[in-house]
Amino acid sequence: MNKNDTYNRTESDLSDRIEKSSLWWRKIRTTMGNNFGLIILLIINLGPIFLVVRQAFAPESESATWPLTLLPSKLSLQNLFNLWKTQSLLEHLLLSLWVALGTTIISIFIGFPAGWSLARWKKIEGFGTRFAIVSRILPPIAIAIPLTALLIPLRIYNHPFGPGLILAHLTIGLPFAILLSYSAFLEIPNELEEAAYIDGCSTFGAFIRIALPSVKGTIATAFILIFLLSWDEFTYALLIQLTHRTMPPLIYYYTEFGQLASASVLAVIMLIPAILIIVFLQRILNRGVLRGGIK
Amino acid sequence: MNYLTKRKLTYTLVAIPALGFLTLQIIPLIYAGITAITDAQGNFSLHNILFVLGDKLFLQGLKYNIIIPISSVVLEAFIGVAMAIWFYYLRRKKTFWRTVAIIPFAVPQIVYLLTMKLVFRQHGYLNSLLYNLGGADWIVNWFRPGSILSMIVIIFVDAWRVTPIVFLIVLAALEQMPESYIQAARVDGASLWQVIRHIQIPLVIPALLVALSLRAVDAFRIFATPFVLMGVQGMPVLTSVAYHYKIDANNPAAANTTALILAGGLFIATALTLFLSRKRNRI
Repeated sequence: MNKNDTYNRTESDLSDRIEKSSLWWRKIRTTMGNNFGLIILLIINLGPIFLVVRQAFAPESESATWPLTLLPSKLSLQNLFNLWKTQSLLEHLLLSLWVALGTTIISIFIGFPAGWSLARWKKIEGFGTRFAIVSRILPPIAIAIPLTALLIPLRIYNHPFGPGLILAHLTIGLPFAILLSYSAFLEIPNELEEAAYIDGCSTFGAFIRIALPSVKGTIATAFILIFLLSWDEFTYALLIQLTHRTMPPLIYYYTEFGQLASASVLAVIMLIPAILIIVFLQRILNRGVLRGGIK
Repeated sequence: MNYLTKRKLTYTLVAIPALGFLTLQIIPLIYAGITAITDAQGNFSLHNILFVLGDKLFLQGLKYNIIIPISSVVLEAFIGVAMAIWFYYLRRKKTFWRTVAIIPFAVPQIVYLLTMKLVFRQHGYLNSLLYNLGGADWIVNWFRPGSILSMIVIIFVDAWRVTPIVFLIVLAALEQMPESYIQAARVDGASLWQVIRHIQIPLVIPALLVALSLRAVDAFRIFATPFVLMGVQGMPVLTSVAYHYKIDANNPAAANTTALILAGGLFIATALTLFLSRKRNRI
């Protein structure tokens, strides 16, 4: 046996050994237990998503039947068309997209330079991380309620283009961008920028030309995550956009007034970007960005 | 490097978000604090605080705002660690099953809550299933206001959505742990259970504490879960009580007072936790 083999063993080898040493019935029991557990997990996690999709594409008349069936009698797009006619669905959708995009772009533009400054200038490091922690402690509702009162004189409360909501969402997106970029810039050696500086680059030029391109992956990560944070955000949107609603409060109102079929259609639309996170989260996790962002 | 120019630049770059933080968080907080301790004429009064403390809805909200977050965090810790250990020993396509496990956290919160409403409501899917199994007697009112059952449902719904965070952090800690620890214990004759109990769980506790301290703050800010599933009156928590004062009762001063009591409580609890953990580390 090669000496390296002891170090290259994976955990599956180990559990192999554990199971080989056990009795055969115990092995069968473990396999069956695992399968059973995984099936339960699949049903609990995917079942409700299936139900929402089913509710969205079933004929509207069926949502009042009792008892409910697992599969609809036929598929139809009636709910979507109803929603399109009665509500200006497009307006809400575009507002949601616009607010999320605005929040993301501003957060990245302001947050990444700030994160870089914190990573390179040790004196203000503690201040910056503390600011990010304090902003996590405050409940959104404690900010949202007085903020509505302050936004009214600025004429951006319940504005059809949602600038007030973008400002409110920055309180979530900005600390996130700063922490994420801070941990990314810490991993990049200072010497690269110093070399550029010695060769005649300005400090800001060193940031733009050297530091920023080396964290491209983090920028993409931050873009997706902040976009989804704003896209999903409920509390600020509920209080600030009282009638010009974004998607989450709209779903809430439809749920509250018992129109679950319409709410389900909106939910299916909202799920589309969420599929992105399911795909990308694996890559993010593999890079360990999530852990760095948390620290 | 020329630190003189760099210092100016770095201060400017940090000052922009700091100023934003000041205007978007500190000024609203100060404004809220002022409205909480003044009356309509702008004179100092404790009227708002006394009104809030004497309101039944607020006291109910306070009760639920303590019970639900604590139970939810404890539940997350247990399920998260158990799932992480289970996944550690699982010999399957881990990426696929890990993706399945994080679905509740990956879907938008409001969509998750809508699915739970579809499942648990009076004429929902779970009751349909129970009706088909055992007839009309088996139907359960999952969201009866004030019942223990509704509280348990809310706690589970709230905990299940964020368990993936705990699960992922603990699983990452387990996978980073050197295999040799377990091998050494196995060679010395430890059973699988003893390995889990005496080696793996003690070594993931630091990671678990990080995950839980993150979660605990969020748990006490709970808003959407009871609000969407049961409404303000059905299961009040402090945030939804504040929403009720602001939107339904049109009493922003009481709303600000309620929200500030929650924020203050959270701030004191966090500061105390940090202080105590620092003190213990010093010893």
